[in-house]
Amino acid sequence: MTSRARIKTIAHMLLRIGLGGMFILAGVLKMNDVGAFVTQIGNYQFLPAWSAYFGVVIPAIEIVVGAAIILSPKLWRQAAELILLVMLVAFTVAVSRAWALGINIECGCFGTGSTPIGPWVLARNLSLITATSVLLLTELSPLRRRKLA
Amino acid sequence: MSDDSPNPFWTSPASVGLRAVALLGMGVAFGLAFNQLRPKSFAFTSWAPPTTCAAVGEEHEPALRPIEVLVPEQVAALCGVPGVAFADVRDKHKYETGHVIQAHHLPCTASPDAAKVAVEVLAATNTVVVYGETTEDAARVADSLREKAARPELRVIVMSGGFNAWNEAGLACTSGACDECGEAKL
Repeated sequence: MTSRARIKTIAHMLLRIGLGGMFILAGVLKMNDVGAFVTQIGNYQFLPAWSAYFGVVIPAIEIVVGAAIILSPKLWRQAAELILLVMLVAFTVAVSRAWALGINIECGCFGTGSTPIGPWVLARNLSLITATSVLLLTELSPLRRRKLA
Repeated sequence: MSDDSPNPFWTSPASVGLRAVALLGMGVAFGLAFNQLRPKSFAFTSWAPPTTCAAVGEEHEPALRPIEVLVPEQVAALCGVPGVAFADVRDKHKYETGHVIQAHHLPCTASPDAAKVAVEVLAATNTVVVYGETTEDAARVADSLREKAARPELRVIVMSGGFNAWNEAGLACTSGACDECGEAKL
């Protein structure tokens, strides 16, 4: 393995640990107070009838997906990264909608005491979407090559 | 599941979707199971989506009933009904000249202590009819009374038109000294 390849591998590993760890942490913090998280989701006024179900399952999905990104074999990791990407896009759409409507609420990203929604939250989400996309594309590229071959 | 699976399906990008569905299923099952197993599980049935933005962690006080405004004839139907009390917010002189039978004297000028006593006196009631010289002065006291009592079940009614409207309608009233005025100043 060349030094360049080694650096790429280490960077890839750090990105996985960073993203996966962050989502495990976010999931655990939300699960710590499910009632508060359900209220935060309800405040978005986006599919309100489903807020309770979202509030219970989203933290668990974040923990499962975060753990899969760090620990699972590549094929399962790709699936986890795909879910993560879809979730981040959905979160970003919800935050953008609430911000555009002028709803002054906490983002709920890390449970109670989260940052109020605004440009900072949107910028953070877009950074996470970029990082997840990079991770997913680098993971998928060997498969693409294999399929083309 | 090995990365070097010989079956081409398991290494195809299409299979990633199936694995994603499986992971989502695991997450949903984990979330629902964890919620059921935890000591204070979240109750789906008792939860209602907020209609306004609610602060997280804030204890929500039960909503108080809105103040009703009824005409004297409607109010008269409540006379003698158990649990219904009348409060006269006019000054002592006017109260002594004439007031609704068994009405408590609760003037606008009552001190905070007197208002507290009034709330205690009215604690046994489930309906309070407030009247004054006009609808507006009764409404002010009624609003204060409603907030101080802070009882969601308490029905607070303002009699429109004040005592004059009651009197002109020929409804029952009495006159006499204000027994409560000397002590609690209700």
